[in-house]
Amino acid sequence: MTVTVADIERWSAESVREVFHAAGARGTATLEASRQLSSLAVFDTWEGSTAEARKHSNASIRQDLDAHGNESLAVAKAAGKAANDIEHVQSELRALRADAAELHMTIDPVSNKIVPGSSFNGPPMEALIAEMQLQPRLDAILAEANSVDAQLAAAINMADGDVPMPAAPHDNRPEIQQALSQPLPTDPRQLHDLWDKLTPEEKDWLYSRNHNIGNANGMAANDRDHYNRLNLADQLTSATAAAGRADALRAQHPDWAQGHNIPSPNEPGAIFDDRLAYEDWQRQYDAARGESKYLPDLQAVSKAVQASPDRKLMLLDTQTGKQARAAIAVGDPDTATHVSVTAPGLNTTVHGAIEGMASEATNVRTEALRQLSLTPGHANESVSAIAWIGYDPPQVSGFDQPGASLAGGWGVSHDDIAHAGAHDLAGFYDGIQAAHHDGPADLTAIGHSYGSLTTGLALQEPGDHGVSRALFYGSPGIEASAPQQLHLQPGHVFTMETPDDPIQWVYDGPPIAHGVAPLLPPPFNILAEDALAGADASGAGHFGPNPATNPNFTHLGTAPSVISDGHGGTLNLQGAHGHSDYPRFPDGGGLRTTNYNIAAVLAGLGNQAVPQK
Amino acid sequence: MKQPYEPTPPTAAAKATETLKSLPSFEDTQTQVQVAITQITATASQLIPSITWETPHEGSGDNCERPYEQTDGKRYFLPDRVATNVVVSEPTWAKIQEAAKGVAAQLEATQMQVMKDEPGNHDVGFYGPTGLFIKVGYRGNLVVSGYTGCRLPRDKK
Repeated sequence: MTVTVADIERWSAESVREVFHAAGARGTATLEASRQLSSLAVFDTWEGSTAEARKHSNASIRQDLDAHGNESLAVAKAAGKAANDIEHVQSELRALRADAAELHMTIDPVSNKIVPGSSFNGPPMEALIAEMQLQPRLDAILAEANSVDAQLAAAINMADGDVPMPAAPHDNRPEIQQALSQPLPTDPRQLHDLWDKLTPEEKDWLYSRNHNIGNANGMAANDRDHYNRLNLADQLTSATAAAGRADALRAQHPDWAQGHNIPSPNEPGAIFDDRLAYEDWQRQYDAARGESKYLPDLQAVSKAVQASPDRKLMLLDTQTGKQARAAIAVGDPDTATHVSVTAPGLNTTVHGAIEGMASEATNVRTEALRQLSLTPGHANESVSAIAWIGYDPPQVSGFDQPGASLAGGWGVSHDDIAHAGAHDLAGFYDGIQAAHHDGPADLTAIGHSYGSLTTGLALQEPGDHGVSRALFYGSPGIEASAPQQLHLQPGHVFTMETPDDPIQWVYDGPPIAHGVAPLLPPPFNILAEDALAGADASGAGHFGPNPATNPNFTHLGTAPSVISDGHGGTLNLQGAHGHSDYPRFPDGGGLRTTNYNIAAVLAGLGNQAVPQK
Repeated sequence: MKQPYEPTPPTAAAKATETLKSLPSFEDTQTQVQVAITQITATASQLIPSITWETPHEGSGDNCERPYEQTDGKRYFLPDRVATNVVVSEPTWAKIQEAAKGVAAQLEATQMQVMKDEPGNHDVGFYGPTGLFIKVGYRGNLVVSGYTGCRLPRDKK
């Protein structure tokens, strides 16, 4: 039921404040508070939803307050706030009434309309103008009054047990209050719309309940960064402490830590203290090591985000996957004209790669900005480059995670990991666009190695993810052969492949490959041997045809030295080799053809990129 | 294939640290590169008096990459200086490039990389120790860029 002006005039802030004083003062003596509240009749003259809610209140209010002392304080808080709000609404109404009187207008308390008063004797147009001036103010007052009414009704309902007591901060806006009592929306646009309306206190409260809140797609990048950095600091503290405990336990029993001199298991009738001591030690040691498991990842992320003030921690997740996950933006993705998201491939871990990927993002962003600066009409465009390790890239033993060989071999030759990552990557794209200011960003999806498969599959996830173009390099396949499958326009898919990238063995089907494949370094031997089985029948690897030779895509150069740039000029760029050079700038300075091309594509200047010879 | 970002081996990392100790500090280098950029823009302004210089973007910093990633080194891309929609004739471009070459040489940035070289579309870089660079380019807009390469901050030397 909607509140009218007449209702507002009947409200008594003083009476409601009595509730506040009663509930507050007796918060710790709940029986007494309950008795006093039951004797108050402040709501009897009320209309609206507050009046309806009170019908159920009296008896059960006492029960609730008896059972939950804290709840009486919450009611007191709600009543106190309502009393203040009532005073504010009534004050606004008084001011409006005075202003209306000066114009010989008045407020109809039933229809909630500004109308000419009995003293008005001007022309109808004058009344219309006055009405246009004053009615919006009255509408705003009524909206606030309805909010106060709903707030107090909610307080009564909570007190009599009709609805559970939320621990959430109170908000006058019913839709926000309701949203705070539910899980946050998973749709990035809905999340963005809600998040935008929350107060800083409400955001902090949500973080206190879920330290991973900063990973919510659709949240503004500044807030993602703020809450993820809080989470990072929190996790670093606990992981560092756990590592200290593990070190101390190892120092206590270095032999046990190495698996030596382990006391024999106890048996009935033969219980020995040293075995009990060992088992206690082992429990503590395992727990400490488990809690410090992600310390190297957290340290690497911390170092990377502190390296420059233009970095934002867009993702930090040590709970979802088998590995830690993180994403760092260089430049503000919410305001940048051009945004790129780069997904890495085989053997990538947060502790081993986030710093290097963030550095490459800095390099390619700087080069993209420089190319834009050179181009008339583009000098003021901005760029954000994001290094995204938001999935668990396959790990192959011997290099980074010893013992993971079998699982890594499977992962690298199958697309299940890529499919899982693709879903999260598509959601990340959606979040970038939902939070972007002033319309969509010009978004480029970049995938390297197995990350190109993940990227290719992300672009095929149902829905429009707002991606403008894609760039794949060192790709074992993307399970697509035409731009339309990736929801991209013709000419908007770019590829690069160095002549000596061993990834090519994935596609090479001649008989000789069967002989050579096992001799390749891992993981290419696994990839090639597995893919060749499929290639014999289909002419393609397991992940579809090679995008770097597909005539439906634009192939960019990787070669070194002075070459024709395809536009009548020459270039002197360093070549890229093997599987890992593409995004990596030369150690001693200079630009690789691939660096130049990635920057050009990201800047939307693909026509300036160096084509493949 | 090893992990994508293999750490620099200890011997090479120690050598990298020695290299940085022999170079000017990060702060001094940043100043030197800034001075070099200013000298080039001043020369261009003398050649094309109507020029107006803008700084459309912020600079960007980072820790150092391989082989200096285990040092306390820092690196910084200074903000580009940009003159939009200027007419730069080929003889004038040649003078700007020559001025840039001379200024860069003072920073030991003598390795030249020509990325674009055709009428009305030029892009040239001069590289020095640990990747330090001075770049000049023209494609309708005239742009001067600078980068410190990796250097140790004064308090880490």
